[in-house]
Amino acid sequence: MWNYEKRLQFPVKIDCTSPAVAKVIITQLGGPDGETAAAMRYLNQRYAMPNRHVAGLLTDIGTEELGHMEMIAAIIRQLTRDMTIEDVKKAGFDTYFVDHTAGIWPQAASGMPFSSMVFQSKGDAVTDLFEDLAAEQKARTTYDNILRLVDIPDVREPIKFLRQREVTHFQRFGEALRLIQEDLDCKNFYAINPSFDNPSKK
Amino acid sequence: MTGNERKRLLNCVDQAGFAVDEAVLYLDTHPGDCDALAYYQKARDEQKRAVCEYNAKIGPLTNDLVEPANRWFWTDCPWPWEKEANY
Repeated sequence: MWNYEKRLQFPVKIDCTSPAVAKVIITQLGGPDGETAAAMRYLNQRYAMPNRHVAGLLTDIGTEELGHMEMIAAIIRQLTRDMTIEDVKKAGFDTYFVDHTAGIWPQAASGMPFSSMVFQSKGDAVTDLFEDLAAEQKARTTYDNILRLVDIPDVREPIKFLRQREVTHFQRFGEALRLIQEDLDCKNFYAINPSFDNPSKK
Repeated sequence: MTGNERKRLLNCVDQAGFAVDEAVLYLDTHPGDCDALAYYQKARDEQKRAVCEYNAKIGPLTNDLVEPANRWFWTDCPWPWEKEANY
């Protein structure tokens, strides 16, 4: 169960219109390393996670990622809500506009629609946590690239905040991996799946 | 109530909320850390105070805080993705 809090985790207040910038930033909504993928990855992985502390971490980080989807959508909305048809054409936003007008739809910057194929839920604690560590780094790199491409200060501030969250989540997932490794039988380190081949279950 | 006051109060909620978010993630992997537990308690108390003040002076941040009157005003204020709701 979730409750909705009527605020962003970090404020988004953008005064200018730029569909060109929105076209790039939308990749963090529906792209391969975006916030929708992050939320779906952690919230689906948690059911098979054998360690309760780590399942709790997946729940809490997954919940925060839902808030990050909302921040990215807010950035795109504010960059596009006052655009004219001339702005659309000049920015090359027409290929998005023709299907979605100024609606928010999760896709990568390339136009590839959001897909579950961009993440895994493998049902193996070690496998899933390595995926999560990699995912946080991939998202951090994407935010670095956005900061290389975008010079609007009002856009950069929330993007810098989101980039920093990837660093914190990477740290927490590293600790989670350590907790899982402490649970493993040292003779079977990496050889068994603690989520499935649990000897105490049989 | 001025717009500046609303922004100040929302900033208080955001700052306290962020401190709670950080403490929660840390405690998930360090459940026995007494310093972190004390930090969490302080941050959570501050968050409650800030939400209470925002609710009293501006409006509800969660729909369970709506005080039933002659109008359902949960949907009256700007939504968080609108520029007008931010500072």
